[in-house]
Amino acid sequence: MPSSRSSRKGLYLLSRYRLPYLLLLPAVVVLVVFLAWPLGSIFYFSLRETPLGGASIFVGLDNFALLLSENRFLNNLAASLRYLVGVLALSVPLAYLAAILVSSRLRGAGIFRTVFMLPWIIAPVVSSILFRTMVDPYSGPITAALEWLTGEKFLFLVKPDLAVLSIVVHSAWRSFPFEMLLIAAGLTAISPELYDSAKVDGAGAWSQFRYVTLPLTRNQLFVAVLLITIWTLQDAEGVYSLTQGGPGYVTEVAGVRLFKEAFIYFNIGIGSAIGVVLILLSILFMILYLRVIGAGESQ
Amino acid sequence: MRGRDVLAWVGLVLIAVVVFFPIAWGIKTSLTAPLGTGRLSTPLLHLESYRYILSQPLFVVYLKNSLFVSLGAIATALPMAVMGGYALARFDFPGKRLSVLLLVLPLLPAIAVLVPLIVYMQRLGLYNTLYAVILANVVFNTPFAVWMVRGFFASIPYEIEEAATMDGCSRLGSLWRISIPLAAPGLIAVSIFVFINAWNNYLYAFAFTTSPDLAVLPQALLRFLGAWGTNYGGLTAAATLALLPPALFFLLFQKWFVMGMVAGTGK
Amino acid sequence: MGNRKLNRRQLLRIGTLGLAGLGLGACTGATATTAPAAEAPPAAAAEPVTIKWAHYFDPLQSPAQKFNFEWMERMASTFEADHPEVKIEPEYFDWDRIDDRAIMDFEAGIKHDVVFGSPQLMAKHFEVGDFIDLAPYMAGWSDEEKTDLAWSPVWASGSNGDVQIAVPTGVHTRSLAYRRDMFEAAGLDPDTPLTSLDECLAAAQALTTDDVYGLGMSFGPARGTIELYFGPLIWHFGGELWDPEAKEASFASEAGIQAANFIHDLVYTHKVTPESAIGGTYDDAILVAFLEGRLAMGWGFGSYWIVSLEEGGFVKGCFPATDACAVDTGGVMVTPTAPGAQFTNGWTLSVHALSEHPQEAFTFMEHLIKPDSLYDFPDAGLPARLSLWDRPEFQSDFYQTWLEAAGKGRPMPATVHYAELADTAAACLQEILVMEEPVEDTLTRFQDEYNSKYAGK
Repeated sequence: MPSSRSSRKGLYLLSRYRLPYLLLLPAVVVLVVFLAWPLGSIFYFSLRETPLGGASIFVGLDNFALLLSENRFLNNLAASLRYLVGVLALSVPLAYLAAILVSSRLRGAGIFRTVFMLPWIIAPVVSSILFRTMVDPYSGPITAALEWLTGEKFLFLVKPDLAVLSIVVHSAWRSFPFEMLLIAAGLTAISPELYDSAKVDGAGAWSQFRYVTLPLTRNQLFVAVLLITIWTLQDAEGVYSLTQGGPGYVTEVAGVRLFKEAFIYFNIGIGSAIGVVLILLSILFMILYLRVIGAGESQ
Repeated sequence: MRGRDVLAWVGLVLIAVVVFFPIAWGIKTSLTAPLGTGRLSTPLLHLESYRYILSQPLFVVYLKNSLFVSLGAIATALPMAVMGGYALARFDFPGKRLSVLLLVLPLLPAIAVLVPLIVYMQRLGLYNTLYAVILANVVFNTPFAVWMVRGFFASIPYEIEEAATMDGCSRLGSLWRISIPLAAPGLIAVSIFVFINAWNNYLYAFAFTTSPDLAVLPQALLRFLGAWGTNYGGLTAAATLALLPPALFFLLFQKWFVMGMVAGTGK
Repeated sequence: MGNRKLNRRQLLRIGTLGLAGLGLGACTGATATTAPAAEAPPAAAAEPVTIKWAHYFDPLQSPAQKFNFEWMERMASTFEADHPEVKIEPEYFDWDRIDDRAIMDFEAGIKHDVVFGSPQLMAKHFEVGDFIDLAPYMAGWSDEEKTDLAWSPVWASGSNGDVQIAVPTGVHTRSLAYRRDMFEAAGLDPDTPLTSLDECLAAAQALTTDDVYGLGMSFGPARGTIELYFGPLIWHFGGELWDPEAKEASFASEAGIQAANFIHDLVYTHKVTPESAIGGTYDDAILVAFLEGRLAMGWGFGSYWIVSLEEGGFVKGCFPATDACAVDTGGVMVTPTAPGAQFTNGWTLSVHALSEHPQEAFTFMEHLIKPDSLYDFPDAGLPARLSLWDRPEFQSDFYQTWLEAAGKGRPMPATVHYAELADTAAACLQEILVMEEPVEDTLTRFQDEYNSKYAGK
């Protein structure tokens, strides 16, 4: 009788593997209860409209239709992508450079590693306010230095390009230490003989990097890039404290838009719909990275 | 060879300057900005801003809340990570793939899930408590924590545990007595990671608490952006003070943190 | 608040004493005495009552906030002295989140009692219903009392027909601050106020030098941009930000185009307003710039900055207000827009709908808005009560100018989606200023964006 056999098999599995199941239970319970359920309800909320102080009504895909046809939201997505690409383009090379330098046999290189971790240790709220004061047109040191060099007063929070540059630089500054740490961890696993044999084969510094370093830090790069992507896509407080999404909507990334809709305007329906889009976007990137950089773990 | 070294030193120093400049600027502001909201700063160094911050009883409240949340997050996340990481490292079982998926879930944007989570916390009666904040921090730090611990356990040769089991230790016993002590660097790494994330987090406290005396340091820092001007002296002084615990924590356990990261993320 | 535990202990003490007292009273057959209710109609509470007071004064923020905080403590202790059964429990909220918190907590079932609020968000409060109608409680007021407070636009924002959900504590308005010495240097008479936009522009052009901009404004990504600059100019040109009949945004009208062009020209054609105004904060662009001597005139200079004028030596004897108040190198004039084309607001007090002691809360509110209490309130800005304006210290030209400015003001559109409207319009103005697209198209685009979501609401 199949049913009793499958239930017997089920019980057998449970008892045979009870130790790992038990060990995993707390984590699974917490994640299912506090994550899986809210994740489900965000889809639920995105299909409804919740007026202030009233009951929510089902509106189907109206929220999504509104967003996807809205110039502002399309701009939000574009801004998020611009933001992400800029951060990765700036932070990953810097992280590699820092990781290589910090892992070298130089005396005192380890101290630098601690210093390099500082941007990650500072609260995003603090660093964004600091950056904002640094680019203040009248009292900011960066503006002053640039004016001394070029004679021109750069208005970082006024010109659209400069505003985007500001949030990108800020976020890259914050993100690169963590990437550096991961990559450095991977570097230690590479045996120096590989570099030696590459040199013997006539490979220069760049080729060594391309054919030895890069492939052998693939796993760490995957994790680093994935985590920074997720973090950057959802970043709200870092950008908001710096530019509030301005000028206009130039730096209004999706995270900032979500923050405004959900927490300032209380538009739960729209906020949830944006949340759904962000989640789908994150999944897309996860799949993309898996394909391009290769699976991190062979699980 | 020497030339290479010099180049490396130059590189290190340059990056250090880029890294440290904003922080140095912040510290400088905290020592020179006048009290209040004017911005004409004096060139003299003074500790007025610090004195002012530390004399406010509210600041101690915020500090306590931040500590409670961060330490609470570690206390909750670490055991879960140890157990889960061990299970994933040492066992093969049906549904292993599924649990990996579950771990990937919290990687999704936290801000996206916050709104339903708020409703959820209200229903559970946890809204406006620091427990909700701790839980949120735990949930969203779990994937990385489990993954790191798993990696660390995987790097410890199984023979050591085998030897212990043969000596009469149970599976769990060997976990407790052998593996965990050996994995100490990895656990430290996870603790520091969770601590820093929880200490700096603004969003969860903002979303789940409304009572002013449950505020954490990042929220307190934003308060300096006042209605009639920004108190930059107070802001940077408080920020510098808030920077000390995680920086100290990191400094003390730096070596272990790196060891943990290396082993945990290798392979 | 560090003394929360103490409050509970004190409460317990009072509670047990009260219970013991009641018990004794019951034993001896005596009836419980009613608490001395000085102002309010029957409020027989002899049990201890805690009234929460949601405010925004953070002493941590700046020593200037210290004055507000001290006022708050004074008010609490004097009230508690008169009403020993009541305990006032202040709770701090961020100034720009206090309204939202009241709403969010109402929906989450968290109680408050007395709450500060802002007029711009009153429409939202009306919609959600988190503030109670105070009209029944004010039934005992004399007509004089009512007019004393009801003259200002701040009162108007809390009104809807006969329902009144908020009471003003002060009046905040803006004027055109200017440097009298710079006027003289440019050959302008500092005692003749500018009365039209053209005169203002001409003066600004005469005043602009290499180091000084003639007319400071602020166009940052904040609501102040709409409340103080774009909005008033649209009103000046005869338009509206929002049409109350159709319940639609209407800033893309002819008036909107004129206002936008006027602002655009100030920055790029006449170059009397700095471009940096587009990115910074309101107080950086106006207060700090004016104090540092980078502006000859500051449009939208707030009444809450009178203290800075005093500290900077621009005026003397004006804060705290005395009858010897005189202008020195700085002065103020009424913003040269049409009457009714300015924005006046101020903080209000309301009673939260979830309050369990609305009567006691209202009694406390009455204590706070007593003429003497308000007179003492640093953040009031300008007096909320007409009677206070008759005092000798407000008779100087300086203060009479502010009174005129306050009377000329009006509130923001009473729409539930005010926040979205202001933010959308501010973003619109910013784009007009930094992008090269035609003004009309940009205005229409943003107006459509707002209306596609909120038209009719």
